[in-house]
Amino acid sequence: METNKSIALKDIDARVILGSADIEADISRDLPLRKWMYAWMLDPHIPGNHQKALEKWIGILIVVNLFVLLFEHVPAVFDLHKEWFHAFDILSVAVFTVEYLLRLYLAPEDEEFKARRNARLAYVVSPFALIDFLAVAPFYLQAFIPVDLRVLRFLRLLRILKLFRIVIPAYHEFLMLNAGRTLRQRIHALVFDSPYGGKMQVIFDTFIGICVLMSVIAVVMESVQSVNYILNIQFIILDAVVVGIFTIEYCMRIYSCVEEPGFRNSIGGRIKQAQSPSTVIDLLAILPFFLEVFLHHVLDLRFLRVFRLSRLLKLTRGNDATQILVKVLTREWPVISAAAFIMVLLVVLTASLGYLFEHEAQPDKFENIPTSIYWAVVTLASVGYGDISPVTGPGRFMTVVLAFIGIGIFAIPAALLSSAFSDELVKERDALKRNIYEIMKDGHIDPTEMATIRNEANRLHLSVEEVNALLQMVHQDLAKESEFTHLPIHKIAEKTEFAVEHYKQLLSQIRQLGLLTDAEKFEHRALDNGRLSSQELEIWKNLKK
Amino acid sequence: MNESVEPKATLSMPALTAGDKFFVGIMVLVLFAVTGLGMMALQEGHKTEGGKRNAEALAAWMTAAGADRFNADYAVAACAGANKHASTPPVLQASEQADPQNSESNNADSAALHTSAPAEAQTWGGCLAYLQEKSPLKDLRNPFTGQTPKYEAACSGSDYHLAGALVLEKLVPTPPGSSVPYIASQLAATDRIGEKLQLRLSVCDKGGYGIKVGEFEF
Repeated sequence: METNKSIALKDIDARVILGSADIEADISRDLPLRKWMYAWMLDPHIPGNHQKALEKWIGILIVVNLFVLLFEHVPAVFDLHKEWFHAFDILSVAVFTVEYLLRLYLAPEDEEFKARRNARLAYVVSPFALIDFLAVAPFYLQAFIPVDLRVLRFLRLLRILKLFRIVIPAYHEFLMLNAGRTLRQRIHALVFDSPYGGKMQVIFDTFIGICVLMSVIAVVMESVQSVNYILNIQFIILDAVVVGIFTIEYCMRIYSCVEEPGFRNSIGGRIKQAQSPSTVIDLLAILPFFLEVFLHHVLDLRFLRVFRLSRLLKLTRGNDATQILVKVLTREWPVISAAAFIMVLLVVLTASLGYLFEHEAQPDKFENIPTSIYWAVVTLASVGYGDISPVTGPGRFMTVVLAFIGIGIFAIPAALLSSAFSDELVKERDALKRNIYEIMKDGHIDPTEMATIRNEANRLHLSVEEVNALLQMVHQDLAKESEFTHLPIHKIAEKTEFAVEHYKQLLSQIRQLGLLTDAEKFEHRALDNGRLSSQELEIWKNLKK
Repeated sequence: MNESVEPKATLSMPALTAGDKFFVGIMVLVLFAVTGLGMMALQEGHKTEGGKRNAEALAAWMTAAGADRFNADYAVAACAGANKHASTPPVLQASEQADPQNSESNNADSAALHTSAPAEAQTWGGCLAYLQEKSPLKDLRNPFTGQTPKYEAACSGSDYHLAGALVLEKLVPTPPGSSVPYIASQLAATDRIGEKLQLRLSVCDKGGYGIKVGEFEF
């Protein structure tokens, strides 16, 4: 839960900063029931109440309803599970009805309606209440009037409108944030991370994420013949809709990328954006659909269909783990490529020897060196399928040696990557520590600084305990520092521990000075009239190294 | 993300620039294009569904025939099983009375009966000829080509010309202890159908890959 107040250093708790603290809502027990219920259930301004959770679960129920409605139109699915569909419908209507009645009862407490003469009537005729009513009305309607099933299903689709409760406020916020900005800037705010995106950008990202997951699940389920047999047409429709959405997103990114720093040039910037890995992934996500339509006579359809799984890569856009992996691979590439080179060398040599020793005895299995390469890789990697194995003495001896070498050689890249990963995480944590150090220097943490720490901690997947440990460490360092600054030098000198820390601090200050000042002018000035002795200047130069 | 943004006084958007208008135009075109291509994909999907319906109709006919064709009064001699007495005259009148709606097909069947060989000698080729020329299934059309569906040896992803073709395979059980329960082979025109057969029917999709429709006894 985000708080709007600054926190003093002594009150620091990582749970508060990370938003994982169980903040107790400040709601008096002495309130009248209606006020008390409103405060707990619907008031958006009270941190720690159930309003956000209620909104979230209602939102999830609406989305699930949408999927259920889609499956209701598939006779093969609906006919088999009619009772479950009916039970879910009753449950949904029950929840939505309770929500409607709750809002109706609590309307006199709502800021929007409390000033009206008849708050409940004002609520009933408000657009959101009408939508809520339409979401449940068809269910009750069928109890009194015989309604055609198709009409009923169409009316149930109105439940989707309930999502407007989430989308409309986000849209208003988006308009506020982007007031006076051009269409291109607004599109940029929607599809790229920026301070102008607000909740609308989160909704857009979530929507794209849901589309990706739906699409990937569809591709996976298509490979299950019994499912694909029944839902083939539905899969085709879903694919076309998803590709439509992804194509629009792709165009939006290419069009608005010139608002991004480093992509300002109208043509060059767009070409640069189109070449960026994330945009190439976006293109790969839509390409199979177009290739299938135009080139299905030339290309293998099964390959194209499975290739649609590349859409899963779209999810990496918002995932920092991928960025860390790319960073690690880039940094360690020289070492990894050296290990890979040794591996290739060993594989080719082994395969050649295998061919030499075994070809005579097993011409069908060790037919040529390329076939032997398969055997060499399987042996070196300790996989050992056993479909090809040596039978001659030298061949078997070589296999023993090879198996031992393989363990070491194949482990090198894995170990390199593993250590590089942990190094990278240590570096990132050190950077976060420095960041926290800077943030805490003024003695308190404001909401913006809290957001920075929260984002960084989330990015590095740090637990509450780890953040707490970091905060404590920085807090202690700062305390020590302030202790030294207030002590006279002879007092510091009395304690060796303090003396060492003080010395480190002085060295750090000299290094900072070396970084910030103009080195040439400094040395010129130092030598001028012998302001610094040659020994002093030597120390200065050594510290700067 | 940390940069704070002050809400502006007005919510209006400046007039669209030429670039904005061009983008909106492109987006409209993209929408039309994707909708059009989606419709094309849907049509192709419906063709595959049509192929599946053809195969289902054939499977239903063959399953029904599989249950009756060893009876003495089975009307379609070209597809009859070996237990049928060759000398037994067809009881066409009786079957017409029993199922007047099928009288048209029964009339067609009678022609096949009169020209048929002894039941032991019936081959799949003869039965197929009856199916394609005289049976109620003679009007089936391959949705991809508009012609009578072809019966192929196998579907192949490398040959899109097979789209909509039907593949009938006979399943021969392997001895107990084998790694596979049966061996599948094409039901050739010369294969005898006097004995009961375990068959598998598939239809080739748009890309030439097989879609298994069912397994049944014939």
